[in-house]
Amino acid sequence: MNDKKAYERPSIQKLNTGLMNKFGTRTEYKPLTHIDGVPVKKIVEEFDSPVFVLSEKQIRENYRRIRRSFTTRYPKVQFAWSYKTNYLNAVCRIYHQEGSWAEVVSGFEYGKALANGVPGEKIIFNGPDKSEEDLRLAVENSSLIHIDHLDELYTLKRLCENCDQKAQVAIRVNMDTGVYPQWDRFGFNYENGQAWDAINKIMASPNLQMVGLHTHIGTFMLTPSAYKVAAQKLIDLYLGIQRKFNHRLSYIDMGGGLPSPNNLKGAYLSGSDLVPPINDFAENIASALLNSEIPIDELPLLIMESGRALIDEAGYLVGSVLANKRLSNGKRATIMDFGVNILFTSFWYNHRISPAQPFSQYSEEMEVFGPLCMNIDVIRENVSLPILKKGDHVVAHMVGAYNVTQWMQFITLRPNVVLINEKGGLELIREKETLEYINSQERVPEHLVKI
Amino acid sequence: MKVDPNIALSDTGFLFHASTGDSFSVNPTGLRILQLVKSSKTVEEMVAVLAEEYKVDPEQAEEDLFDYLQYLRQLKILIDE
Ligand SMILES: Cc1ncc(COP(=O)(O)O)c(C=O)c1O
Repeated sequence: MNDKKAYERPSIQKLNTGLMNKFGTRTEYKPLTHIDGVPVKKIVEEFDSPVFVLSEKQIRENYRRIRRSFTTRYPKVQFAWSYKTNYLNAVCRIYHQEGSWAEVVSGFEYGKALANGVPGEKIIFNGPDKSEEDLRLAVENSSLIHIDHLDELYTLKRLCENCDQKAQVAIRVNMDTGVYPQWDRFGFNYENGQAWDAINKIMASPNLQMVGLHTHIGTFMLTPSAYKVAAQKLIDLYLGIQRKFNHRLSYIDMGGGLPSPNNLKGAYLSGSDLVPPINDFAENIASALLNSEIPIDELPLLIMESGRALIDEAGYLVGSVLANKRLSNGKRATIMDFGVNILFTSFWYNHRISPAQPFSQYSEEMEVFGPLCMNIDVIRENVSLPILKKGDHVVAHMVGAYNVTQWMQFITLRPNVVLINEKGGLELIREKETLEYINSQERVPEHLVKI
Repeated sequence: MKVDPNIALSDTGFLFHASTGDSFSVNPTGLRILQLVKSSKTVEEMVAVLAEEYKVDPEQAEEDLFDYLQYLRQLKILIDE
């Protein structure tokens, strides 16, 4: 009995010798049996599948590396953690421990930052949606309010007429940096004079204290020089304010948008070949500031609100194969227990997928689907993976940004999120949802109680 | 059901389809099944052989076998007699 051979599902793969790409055959799949030294199998045994896994070690290392890119080039740098990228409290607190301020875009996120113990004056309040209540609180806490539109400016002016405190404000500026698409729906435009119009109104308001300038020119930016253009335009406003009002701003906030080495859909090159080094972005911003007319001893604080570049690589989604089937054209289809409901970023990225156990040298071209009964639920349209069977575990890479915030409670429940701490211990940082939890938010009208 | 006579199959699992010019690679289980088809085994016999030779239960072997044979037909590697 013991001499039976190990079994692998029968498989045949057409050899596309003529179509080999010029980078050679990329073996996408190396087994990833451990994350930070912890067996994937153990994670699934303890926390089920699917499960998001975040590495505290990688979060901290990445943060320090990217921060260093800037601090080695510019003397005054402050990072502010972009809450929307991943606002699990444990994650935010890692960044705050590392010295990050908070960057929030809603009353909800603002509340989270306060509850995480971030002092009011270290919270940047961005975005078009700030209620009067939010604004009042932000003024009281001396938070940095980045005004998005004139309606907000007027509301704030009115609110502050009855305050004993000045609101600490900046404006968000949008501009042409030579990169398409131009994000012109947020803030005030540089080229057409809107930005100056807003600045003049703020400077004429005794209750508004203008402290900075802000821009966020896009996300997953691949053109470092766009940041130079953006910084130069903010510096132009900075110097103009100094000239006209003899008023010195304390900071310039360049927003986020730095890319992570993820594989963009539709890109010919893989992420690591496509994405410029973070140093290039830092160099463009720092040199714009250092080469400007601003005297060295008066240089403003440079704020960065980087999101995805800091955390994408530190996040993994561990899942399992539910089933194998064939499409009508014979192509292999593999159904996983995670779909676009929880891996929202598979709309943007071809996430690398690794089997979590060793395998033979044989592989199959396949399409990878999630478990939803919906046509849109595609994780990878075309990927070559080893022969997987029901119950095998896989790991999707670089899922740290925007998934545990943009995930949907759709068809299935949202899974556990686990942090591997620096000692290699597993900590549950968000408990998986239950039917009871979802139902507890619902109310059934009287006439529908009996069916 | 038989293997198309235009097909050359090596012992290492390399398969060449002379009439289409396509080449394929099969894994060891896939190769074993092609050999069984060539020796005119029925599906039931093939399942029994697989369960005998490999660490697999007959239900799993049968499910995988059907899927594989179906695909070989689609690739025109297997043809009806
Ligand atoms: C104002 C602002 N700052 C920072 C970020 C973080 O962006 P990223 O993840 O591209 O660095 C965003 C994201 O859209 C944003 O809107």
